[in-house]
Amino acid sequence: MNDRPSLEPVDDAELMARHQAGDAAAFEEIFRRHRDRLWAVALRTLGDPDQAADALQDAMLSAFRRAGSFRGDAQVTTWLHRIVVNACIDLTRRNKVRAADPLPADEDRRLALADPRVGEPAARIAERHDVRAALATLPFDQRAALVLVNMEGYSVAEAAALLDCPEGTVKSRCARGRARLAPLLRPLWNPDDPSSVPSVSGPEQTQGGDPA
Amino acid sequence: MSSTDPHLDLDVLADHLEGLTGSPERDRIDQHLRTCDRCSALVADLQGVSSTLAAEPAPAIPAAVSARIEQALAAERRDATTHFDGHQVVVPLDRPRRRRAARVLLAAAAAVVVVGVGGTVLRDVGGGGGADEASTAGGSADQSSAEPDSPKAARDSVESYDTDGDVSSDERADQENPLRSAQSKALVELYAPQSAADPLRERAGCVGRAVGDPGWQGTSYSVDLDGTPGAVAFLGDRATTKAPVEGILVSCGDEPRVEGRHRIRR
Repeated sequence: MNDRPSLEPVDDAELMARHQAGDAAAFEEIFRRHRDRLWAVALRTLGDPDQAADALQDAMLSAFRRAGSFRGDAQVTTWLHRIVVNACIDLTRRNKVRAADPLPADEDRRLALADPRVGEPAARIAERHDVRAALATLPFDQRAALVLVNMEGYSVAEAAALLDCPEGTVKSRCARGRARLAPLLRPLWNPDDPSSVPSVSGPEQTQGGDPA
Repeated sequence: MSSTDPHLDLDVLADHLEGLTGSPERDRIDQHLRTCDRCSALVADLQGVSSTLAAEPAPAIPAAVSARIEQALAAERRDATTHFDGHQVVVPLDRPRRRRAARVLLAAAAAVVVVGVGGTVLRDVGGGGGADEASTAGGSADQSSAEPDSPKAARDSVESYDTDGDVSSDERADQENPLRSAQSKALVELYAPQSAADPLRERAGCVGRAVGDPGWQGTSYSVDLDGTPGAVAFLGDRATTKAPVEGILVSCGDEPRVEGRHRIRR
């Protein structure tokens, strides 16, 4: 997002070839090109900036070492996404991250860490907070499916390949995830509806629901 | 959804929107939605979820996180860097084990160095390498008559030496097929620039195959020789030892040649 345009109009595949040939700068350029999107996947999937940072670093080092497993017929971005998604899954399993971990107490600091943009209207930040907090109430599998399909724009087939599960499973996870999110997010488009659930009120949510 | 409640719950509607409901129920749901405002509102909510998620601005990676990862990548690169003959060897990281390969390659045996010109003609650059002393192959390269159009001359140039440091000129045996005849040896092929498209050529500089005895492995890496592209081929027996025993440094200019070779002490 803040990247300067590359000095050379080299595509990802060429950069990957250079990296495979030992060009020390090639992979770092690949990382710079895609870091924002990969970060978004990690952060949204894991819901925690510190964990997202760990997962993304693990993924990038893994990709750096395993560049030989990259096939030229795949998009570099897809390949990187898969590695990031796998890192998130691994980290989740390792840490036994609970799907409904309450947001940390120092939410302001975490929000600042997660999103360095400043000067944004408070209402907009509040809205994003709502969405992220709502996502955090989902089981990992549902959240990962929704992040890829609804937020990252992958097709169901692509998400299934990334998550290594059948397409029907992706659809089902997305459907159930949306069903859970609907009452939580409804205030965003129905602010005056008294039946709306105020902010996040998932059963496991114990704190951090108020974005103010 | 219970039989007494005509309305549909969110899970059913969400599955329905994903096309996960079977045919009889699908029709029933569609029919219900045509007349039920309450359930239609739930459908709108579900669609609102999708559009809200899609509209979320992607968070930019924090500078601190990005910097940390770039440092980790740089450290990984440093960790993978090795040196040979005072030159920094660029180790490509394209395969899971390749990063380790430079350190992991093997034990001694013999090596045959063959320089190919145009990929067909071989030119001798072999030199006797003592088991424990470094030697350059330049001297013996002189005995090769570089005749780019004569494969025969090339074959004559093959030279080998054995693990114990005894140079054995087994040129006749190598004539028919240097690769095959080198069963008990390792062989490195160098290719002239014009043969860059040779399928046998590895990526590192002008080094082609680096092969040999069963169990032998050869891996080549790029080296910068004061501005001239070069390569070093590490040879060794992966099965028996964790380190390369032989390194062959070549320059990859217009006329690829061996600059030196060393037994690598472990």
